[in-house]
Amino acid sequence: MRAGQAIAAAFWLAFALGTIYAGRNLGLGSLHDPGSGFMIFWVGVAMAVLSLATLIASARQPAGEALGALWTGLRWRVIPYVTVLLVLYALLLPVLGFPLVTVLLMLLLFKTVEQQNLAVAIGGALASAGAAYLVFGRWLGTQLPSGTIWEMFS
Amino acid sequence: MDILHNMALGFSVALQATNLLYCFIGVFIGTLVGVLPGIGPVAAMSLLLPVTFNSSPEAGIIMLAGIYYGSMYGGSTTAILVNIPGEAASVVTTLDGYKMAQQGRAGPALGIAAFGSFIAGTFAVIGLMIVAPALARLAVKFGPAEYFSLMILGLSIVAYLSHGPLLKALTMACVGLVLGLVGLDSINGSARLTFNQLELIDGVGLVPIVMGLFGVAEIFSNLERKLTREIFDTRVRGLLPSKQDWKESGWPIARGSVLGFLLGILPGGGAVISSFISYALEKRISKTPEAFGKGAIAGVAGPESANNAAAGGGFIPLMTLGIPPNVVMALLLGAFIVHGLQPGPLLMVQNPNIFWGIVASMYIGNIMLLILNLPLIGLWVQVLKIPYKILFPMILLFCLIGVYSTSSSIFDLYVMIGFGVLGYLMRKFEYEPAPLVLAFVLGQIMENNLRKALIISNGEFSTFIERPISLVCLILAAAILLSPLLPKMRARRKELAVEEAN
Repeated sequence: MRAGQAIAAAFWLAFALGTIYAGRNLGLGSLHDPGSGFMIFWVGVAMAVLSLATLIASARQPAGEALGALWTGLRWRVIPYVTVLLVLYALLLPVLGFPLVTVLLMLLLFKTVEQQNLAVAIGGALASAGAAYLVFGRWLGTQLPSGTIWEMFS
Repeated sequence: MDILHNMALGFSVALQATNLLYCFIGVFIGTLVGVLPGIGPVAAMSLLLPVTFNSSPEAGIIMLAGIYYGSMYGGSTTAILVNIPGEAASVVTTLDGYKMAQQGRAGPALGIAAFGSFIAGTFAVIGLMIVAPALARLAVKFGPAEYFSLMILGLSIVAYLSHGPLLKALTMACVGLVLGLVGLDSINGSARLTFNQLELIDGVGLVPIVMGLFGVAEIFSNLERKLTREIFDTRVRGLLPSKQDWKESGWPIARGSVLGFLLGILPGGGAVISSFISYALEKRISKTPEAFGKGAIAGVAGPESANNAAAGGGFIPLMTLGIPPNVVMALLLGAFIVHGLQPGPLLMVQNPNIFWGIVASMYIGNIMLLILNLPLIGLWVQVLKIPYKILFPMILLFCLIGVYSTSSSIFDLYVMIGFGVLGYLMRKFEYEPAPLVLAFVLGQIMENNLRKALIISNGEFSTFIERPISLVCLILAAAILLSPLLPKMRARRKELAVEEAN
């Protein structure tokens, strides 16, 4: 696990360095009148020190298991798959509109992630999309996207 | 007399039909999310935050508060019947609650959990009524230096009590602070860390971050391993505890109530840690410690009371100082701000109807919960039987639409998905999301107070140590952060983290 811990610490170290850079660019001001970047800069410095310490601590650990061991025996492929579905949902929601995209997303989640039978998947997709519409669209009055593509036909 | 007058005002607000309805919805949903593993009060509250936009401030906050303390009640049901805690504060209830269920005593276990929760919840509300006005009077004397140091103390406690290594928890707190500073500088109006994205001018939304880190990440973690649940099959009978049960549970309930309430007030304390400490305390002072872990009713009564009392105590720092002591309270702070209210010492002076209305609604909510929990156990058992493969797509959809409805922004959906993936990886690499979220909420407030304190003191950092309250907070924070360097304290912290993680 040493490699995994080191990668994570290096990621946060890079984030911290970016924060320090951004803080400096925003302007530190003076102690009498701290600027917009004052706190961002110093929090970045603290973060850099902490992540560097984590990085050093991970280097002093025994090598242990490889990074891949974190996902051994788990259905890890489900995670990128569902993530892609969610991103596609966000992309297509304004274009195809709430009803169609929601039913499609739910159908895919029900049918492909846990392999439900088709009737359950269709029923579940329609029922959950309908429930979401009732709660958010009707009860809460949220303006759910109707889809720009349909405006071309109307 | 003042308290009586204030409570009369509070009840006149809480007993309005709309507020009663919102209170009922809150405690019902709270119990439901407490029962259902895979969705906790934080995710449920952020999901329902948009509901409060259309309601009066008191109705919305009454509902969100109901979700929180309702989930404490509901969590015990899964812990006792399924051996899976519905939410983290009920982890310790599985130790003896499930054993009692296996011995055919699921009824008394559920019963004492509900009665203990009710007693502790009521105790916490009374404590809130007494302590809050006194603390608010003291808080009026707080200046920017005191507020800044108090927030440093709160973040230190949250980092100390988190599962993983302290260095990682502190790193997460720093990340949260930076994220909280995205958007317009509240002092000079310049845009910061927005990368020319218009959507970031008002900062990153709290709801997409919380939904990502706690909702989506939780679903990802559950999806990669198949969740199986064995529901305790026999019918649950005899919910009313016997005389002997009461005899064994009376003092644990009393101690759990006091302990939970005090820990709930502390910044960084909360329901989870108080339930563990209550269990450890009961085991230590019991004449039969060997019975713990084998179905001791005191092992259910103490922690269940403690977590409910802590849920009530947590309202004190929020409502009197305007500082959320934990993530749940940070969400409530968000709800207050959405309605143009600033929790703090002036809340009970400027908006007494809201302050006392919320307090009174907690009495009513506790009674509703007692009524909901005992007769409706059968319904909750049925809810438990819904397979996760049916539940998770619905939870995901409600996360997506819930986030969209808060801002009508597709950008927020990407933020939620991004934080979902980040939260999943953070769990893998033992980085805790709680310090990040709390620091995110405190970021702007902390920066404002830091800059104001420096401007007022002509750039003298000594202002933070010259003011006694500020100095005490900083000394405590330093002691907490440096304590892991002492071998004994390091061992104790690891013990707490392992207990909590288990």
